[in-house]
Amino acid sequence: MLTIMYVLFSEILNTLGQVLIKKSTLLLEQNKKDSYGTFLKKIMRFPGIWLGLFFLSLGLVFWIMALSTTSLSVVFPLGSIYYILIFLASHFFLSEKIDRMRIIGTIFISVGIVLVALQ
Amino acid sequence: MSGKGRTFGSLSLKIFLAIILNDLIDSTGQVFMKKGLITSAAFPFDLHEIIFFISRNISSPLLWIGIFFYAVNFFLWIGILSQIDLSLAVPLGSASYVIVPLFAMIFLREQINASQWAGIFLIIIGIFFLSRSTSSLEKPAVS
Repeated sequence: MLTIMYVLFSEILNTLGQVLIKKSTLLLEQNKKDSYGTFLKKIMRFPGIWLGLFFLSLGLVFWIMALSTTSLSVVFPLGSIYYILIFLASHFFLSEKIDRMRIIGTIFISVGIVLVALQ
Repeated sequence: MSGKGRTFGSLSLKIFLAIILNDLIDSTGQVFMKKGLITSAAFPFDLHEIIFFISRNISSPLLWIGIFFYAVNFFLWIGILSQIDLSLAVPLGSASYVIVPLFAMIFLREQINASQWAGIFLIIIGIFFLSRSTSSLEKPAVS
């Protein structure tokens, strides 16, 4: 039960982190002539990137703690909840259009990952 | 990162390869992390045990190599997210995990069982659907 809570916590933190990073890239005015290094230098000035990185790191800590006691095959099916969280957050915070193809594709991938993880 | 050139559905080949590279680095990082961590039988459930868990592992060099891989990956991931939707990048990112068992089979001659083959097949179909997503067009701002 605690493991499940840790995994969920990790997924929520990851979702928040990803939204913050994506939001920062949307705020950045991209210049097509910029090199990748210049792009990174510019994007790292956004506090959202650092906050996002913090959330992702915290999420990783929870993920590691969850993994240290349970096997991957228990944790992987919970991964589909992550996609649902990402879809909800992308829709509400980033106004992305989640079309049918995206949902169908993600369902196929979730089931596929569970099957690959099964031993 | 170009939106022009060869495409994979509505994704550019460049983005697609970047996502695959991102996953390869991620998998490498995970292997180091897994090898580097001393895990406890007891589940860390209070703050005291969490601190104990961290203090026991913080000096592991393998763990830091793992963290290094994650850090490199982070800079790649920002680039990917600057080009495509989050709701597309996340499922696509985990989809390329399929590459790891395939590599293990080809280079390490590991066996893939029937259900794993079925899983790989489903993931490839999933990637195909995602690449057909109408709103997956990359922002034309960067070329």
